[in-house]
Amino acid sequence: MLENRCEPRGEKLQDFASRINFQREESYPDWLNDVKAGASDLLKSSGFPHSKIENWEFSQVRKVLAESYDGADTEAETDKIRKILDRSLLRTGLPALVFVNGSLALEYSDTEQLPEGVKIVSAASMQTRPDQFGWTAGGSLVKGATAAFSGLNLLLMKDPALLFIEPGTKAEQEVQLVFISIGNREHRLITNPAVYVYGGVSSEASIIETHVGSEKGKYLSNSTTVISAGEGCRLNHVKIISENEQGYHFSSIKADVARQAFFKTHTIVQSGKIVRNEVETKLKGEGAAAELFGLYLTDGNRQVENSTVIEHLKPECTSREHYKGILNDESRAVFRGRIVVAEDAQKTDSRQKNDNLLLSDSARINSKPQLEIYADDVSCTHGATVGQLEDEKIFYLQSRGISRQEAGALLIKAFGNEIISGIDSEKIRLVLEEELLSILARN
Amino acid sequence: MLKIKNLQVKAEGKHILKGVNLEVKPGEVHSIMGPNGSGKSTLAQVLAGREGYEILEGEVWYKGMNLLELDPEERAREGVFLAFQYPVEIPGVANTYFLRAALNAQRKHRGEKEIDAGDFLRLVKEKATLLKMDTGLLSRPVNEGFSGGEKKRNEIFHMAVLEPTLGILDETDSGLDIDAMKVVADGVNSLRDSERAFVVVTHYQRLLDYIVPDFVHVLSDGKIVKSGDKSLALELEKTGYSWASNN
Repeated sequence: MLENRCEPRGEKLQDFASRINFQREESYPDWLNDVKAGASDLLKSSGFPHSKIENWEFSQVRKVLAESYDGADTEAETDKIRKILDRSLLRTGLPALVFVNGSLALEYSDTEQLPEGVKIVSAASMQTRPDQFGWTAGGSLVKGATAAFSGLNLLLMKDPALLFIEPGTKAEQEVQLVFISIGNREHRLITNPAVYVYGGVSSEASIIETHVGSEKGKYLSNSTTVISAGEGCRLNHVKIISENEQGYHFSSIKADVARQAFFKTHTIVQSGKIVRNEVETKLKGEGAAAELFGLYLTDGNRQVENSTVIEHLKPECTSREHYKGILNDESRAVFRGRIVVAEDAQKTDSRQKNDNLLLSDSARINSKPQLEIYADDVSCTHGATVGQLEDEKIFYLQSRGISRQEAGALLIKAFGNEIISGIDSEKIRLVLEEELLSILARN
Repeated sequence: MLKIKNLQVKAEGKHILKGVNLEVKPGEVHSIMGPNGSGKSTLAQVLAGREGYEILEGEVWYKGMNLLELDPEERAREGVFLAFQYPVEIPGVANTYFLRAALNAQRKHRGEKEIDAGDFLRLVKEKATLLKMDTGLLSRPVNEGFSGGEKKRNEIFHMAVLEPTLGILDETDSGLDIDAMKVVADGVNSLRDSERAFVVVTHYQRLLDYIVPDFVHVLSDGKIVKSGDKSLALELEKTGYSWASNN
């Protein structure tokens, strides 16, 4: 575990950012200290986002920033962790690497069971800076407030999971990463899960991230996933967000997709009080393809935001995007889908859809597609729908003997399953289908 | 089995059924014919329990139960089946998955065990063959992307699997070519026995060449204005509905 002296101590994130005086950590290689120092400078100069700036409208960032935070250096109790592991994902039967409050917990992890050709490396052990992840001595960030949470992650990350998939690898078994946040009672805890994946030329792998929390306690899981898909590589990625009732999750997924490479990501939000997912995908080589899927289930007064950007930078790239939401009670969801087609990106083929099912009159969805097209020979479509359960369908199911309640559950499940069924990993798919049912049964 | 007494129904502010009387005994096939807007489909929907209809007067008794007090699913579990005029598409729910859930709900109601997966598969195959169903339609989402004829055939397929006591067919013949109509009629005829009854709502006589009714009733302006045997349907075919309502 990397030690990290500069962490918030019962203070607001803004106050922490303006007071930090980054101190180089002796146990880190120089490049890592440089990256963190750069992030610290950026945070200090740019501050945090607010709901007046683009892509943060309707967000609840003000609430998040109004609270006081503690760094994640507390030791968690073993039985607590075992309990969390039992009730969450280990049901998939897949080996997993387990991170507790951002630190790799070897005692719960199967480090021996990684598929052949997949290596996990500790950042601190690397003498030179890996050049696949966009890290520079100045941090790696686009300047500005919108990058604040990514900057915070860089500064505070403890054991980033660096996964290298060797060229030509065909990993049949999924790599499962589990991030557990153990919440605090007084100040909210901030944890900073970090996943970096490099897919070598013509390699194939699936990475499953699950984010869960302790049953009680407040925390903000501020996670970053950086993907670099090399030429002809196929990467499947699933991020399951299953935070506790008070838990916040801010997620940033950044993916660069090279020539003829394919990247597919599913963001499944099952729970959490305030959740914001950013996905930024750059199609950087000819014939690259990206598929972005999302399913968000909200109830109570929870809020889930999905903010996505797909940039078509080269010709003949394709993108598919489909996000679906099931909203109950007073909950709220936001979908932003920005597609940028650069001048050079002729023969772009892009489809975007956002469908929402409102189960209550007080639930709200803001859906905002945004196309910026600078090339002339492209095919881009987008569409958004908001609907309720249709009486006609319910009656049809009832008329065959299915109760009204079951009919509703069947229709909602079918709505959500359209997204889940696109996940390649059968084990994950089955667990998610089952969980979807139990979440629906709760409502 | 079914006794409708002076049934008067209003929908969207309009008085549609104005006193329907009908008795159906086990083993009988009754056909309800009539011009568009006479209330045929309303009658079928009210029997199945569709919401949105206001019962102004009258009673419906089914196997000794007050049918109008039962939820749609309770009616189905008691053996009432409506083949829809416009079958509904249910994306994301596989046809056989849905059918198995429906069958099990009905079996549970009767105090029977859930059907074994192998038995269900055999049952489905048998009925699909009977109705010359394209087996691809079994695993596809219910009615999604089905042609008009495939949807109607699927309704009768559901009926064949669920084996209701009272089958109500709401213009099942509309949109079917003659071959498809024969197949659908075979499906219905295969279920005919001394215990089961059917109410066949249709605008045209031709379906009744294949599903031969015991009784034909003419519904006009919300009332049964004439009843007879199958020859009534042939007369109607020749002379039109105005003849029936004027007499």
